[in-house]
Amino acid sequence: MVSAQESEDQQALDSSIEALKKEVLSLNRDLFILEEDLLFPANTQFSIFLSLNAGSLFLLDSVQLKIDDKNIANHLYTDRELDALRRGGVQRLYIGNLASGKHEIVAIFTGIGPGGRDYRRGKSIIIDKTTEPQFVEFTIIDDITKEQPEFDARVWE
Amino acid sequence: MSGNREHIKGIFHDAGNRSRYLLAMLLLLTSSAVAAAQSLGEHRVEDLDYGRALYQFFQENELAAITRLLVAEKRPRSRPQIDEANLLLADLYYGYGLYNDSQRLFARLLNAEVSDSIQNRIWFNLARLNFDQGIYQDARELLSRINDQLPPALEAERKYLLTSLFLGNRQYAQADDLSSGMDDSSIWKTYARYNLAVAMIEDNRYQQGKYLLDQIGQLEAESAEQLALRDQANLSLGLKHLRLDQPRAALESLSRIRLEGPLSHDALLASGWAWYGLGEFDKALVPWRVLLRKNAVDAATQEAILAIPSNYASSGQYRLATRYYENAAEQFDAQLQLLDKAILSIQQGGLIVALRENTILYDRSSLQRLPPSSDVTPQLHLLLASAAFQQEIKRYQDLLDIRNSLRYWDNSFPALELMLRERRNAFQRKLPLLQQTTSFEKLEALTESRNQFAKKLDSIEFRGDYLALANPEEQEHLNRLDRVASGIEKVAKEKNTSYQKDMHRLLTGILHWNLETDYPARFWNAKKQLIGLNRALQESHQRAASLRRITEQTSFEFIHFEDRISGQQSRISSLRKRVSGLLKRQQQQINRLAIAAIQGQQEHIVQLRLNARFELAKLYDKLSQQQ
Repeated sequence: MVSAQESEDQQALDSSIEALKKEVLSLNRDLFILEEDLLFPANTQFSIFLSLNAGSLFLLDSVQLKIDDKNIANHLYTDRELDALRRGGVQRLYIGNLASGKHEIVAIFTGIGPGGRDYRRGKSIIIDKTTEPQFVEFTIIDDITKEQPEFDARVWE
Repeated sequence: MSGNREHIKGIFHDAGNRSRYLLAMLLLLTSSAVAAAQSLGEHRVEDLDYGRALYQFFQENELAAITRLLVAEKRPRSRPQIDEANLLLADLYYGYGLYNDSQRLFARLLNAEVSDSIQNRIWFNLARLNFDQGIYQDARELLSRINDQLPPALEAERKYLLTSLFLGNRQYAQADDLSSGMDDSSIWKTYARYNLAVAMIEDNRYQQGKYLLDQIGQLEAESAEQLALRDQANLSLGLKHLRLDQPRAALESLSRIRLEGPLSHDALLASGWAWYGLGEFDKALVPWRVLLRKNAVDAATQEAILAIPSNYASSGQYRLATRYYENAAEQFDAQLQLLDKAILSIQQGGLIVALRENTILYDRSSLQRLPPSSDVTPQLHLLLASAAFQQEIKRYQDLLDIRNSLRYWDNSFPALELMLRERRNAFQRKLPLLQQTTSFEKLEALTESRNQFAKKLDSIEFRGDYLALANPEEQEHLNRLDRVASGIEKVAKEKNTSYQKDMHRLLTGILHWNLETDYPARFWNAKKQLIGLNRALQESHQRAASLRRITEQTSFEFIHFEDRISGQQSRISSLRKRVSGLLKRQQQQINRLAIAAIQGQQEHIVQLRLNARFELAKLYDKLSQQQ
């Protein structure tokens, strides 16, 4: 049996937690923006994303990223991350600064392909970095007709 | 025998409560967030920020997902899926306990121009919120507004909600029609059919309810959720059969319950009573003894402790009954001591430590499924499975997440400040060169030179002064011809110089002829140079202006960054204090609920011990009379 005092205390606690959550959300938003603006100014900002479209023909294990033949990131996937990607989530693999001009971005995907065989494929894209923030998205697609995974790359405007 | 009936009533009552707890727990696991996630995953994401939020959301990182969407709102980027993003945000607010913000956002979305598909999903989400809060009339009205099929996962849940609403109004035929047409592979169908069965049995429609429970009880289940529902259906049916004095039918249902499942204790206890009902006293002892060997402190085990001597007493084995009643009283004493220790452990922070360890070791979803491992958790399994307590644990986890997030920012600040300092220093180093490049004096001197050149060209054009456009070699030739003319003049009195004069005139004529005839081309070239110079100067002006703007902007940005950084640390520090205070209060709340649950158990055991002693006294009397 909950006493009236306990119920009142509980309500006060609920309101305090709700107020705190709202303040923390606002703080997090402000600080994330500040961090990004400070560490990655708009004119040099460059990000790489990964998404899956279907993804039943390729079980992703890891991805390696290179810019102009220089290794910049490696990522090893957990089941939860893969599940999130399969269900439509988009992962930011990398954010950094890049000088204006042409650059080659290469992503090397490792995992299990059709027939349960080890599978390793690279996909590259040449981008022309401007003074605006630029985003590149790699997508792993199922090519049902060829029964093979396809790897796509595009620059977001 | 009357004592036995009381026991039977007791287990029915407790098992009934447990059923509701279990169902509540199962429903909690398939909460709106999961259903929303399934539906959202069915279409391709065309909005990076929305996709990133989904990535966090699908990993059950609510705080990160909400933050991502809030950051995206402040970015001047194209948002092709802004309505979906807002729908997700409203859903996330709800899951995060920000109910007012959630309702406000849904209402705002409804007033905006959104597609029919989005609007239907908003109706659905609002209906679900109202349903969860027990506002059934509004939920029904909102569901009726949905005018098209929702994505499959949501469609199944919509039908589940409607079925539940029909059940609330005792509209069994409608509930049956709707739920039987649901997709067989959807867990929502099993929930809907189970609820329909239970509602019909409670409303004296036993045969129909029994038929449905039998169906669910024999499902080919694969997932943990399906298995739990199947066990639940079999237990409900078994208990109903017992209540109707149909022990054989009860045994059939109870035998389908998994021995390793969470309902195994209830099933063992009820199986014992079923055998007892059939007059098979020895067989009744088998499941009860299995239960006793498990040595758990739960209601089913406690009932079994008393059921065994009661069984012996009923069959006239008074000495055996006496011994078992004496054992029962001792076991209850031991259980009470164990519960005292559990309360002490909770008061000393044992439960909270276990919750924290779980947060570190497991993700959110497994924390909801796995009870924290501690010496008190066996005594709290019912409480831990209840939706209300899960809500308290979730709030505690939310506070831990907030504390971690604030700690992250506190630790990040030195790095952010260092970054700002380094960028400012690098800028200061470049500043003199920038100032030199963009200085007005330099540009003014260049402009003045250009103006003089233009003026000279104007004068040449006005006077047709082709000589002014002679190149240095031609100029040298002209000068030499002048010197030659002076020389000829000097010697002309002493010597005949007519040949030299003719030659001089000829050469001068050729040179002037060449210069004059070449004048238009030379003048055009000079003009072209002036045009080029104008362009270069204009570009220099623009570049200098742009650099000056960037310089000012960068200086301003540094000030702006400093403003944004300053004050944040005190904001974080104040929030950290608040979160720490709230964590303590939430811990107290969790401990209070846990202790209250254990004290409830203690009261129950004290009553059972009293029963055991009362039965013992009666048996002692009987034995002394026999002697």
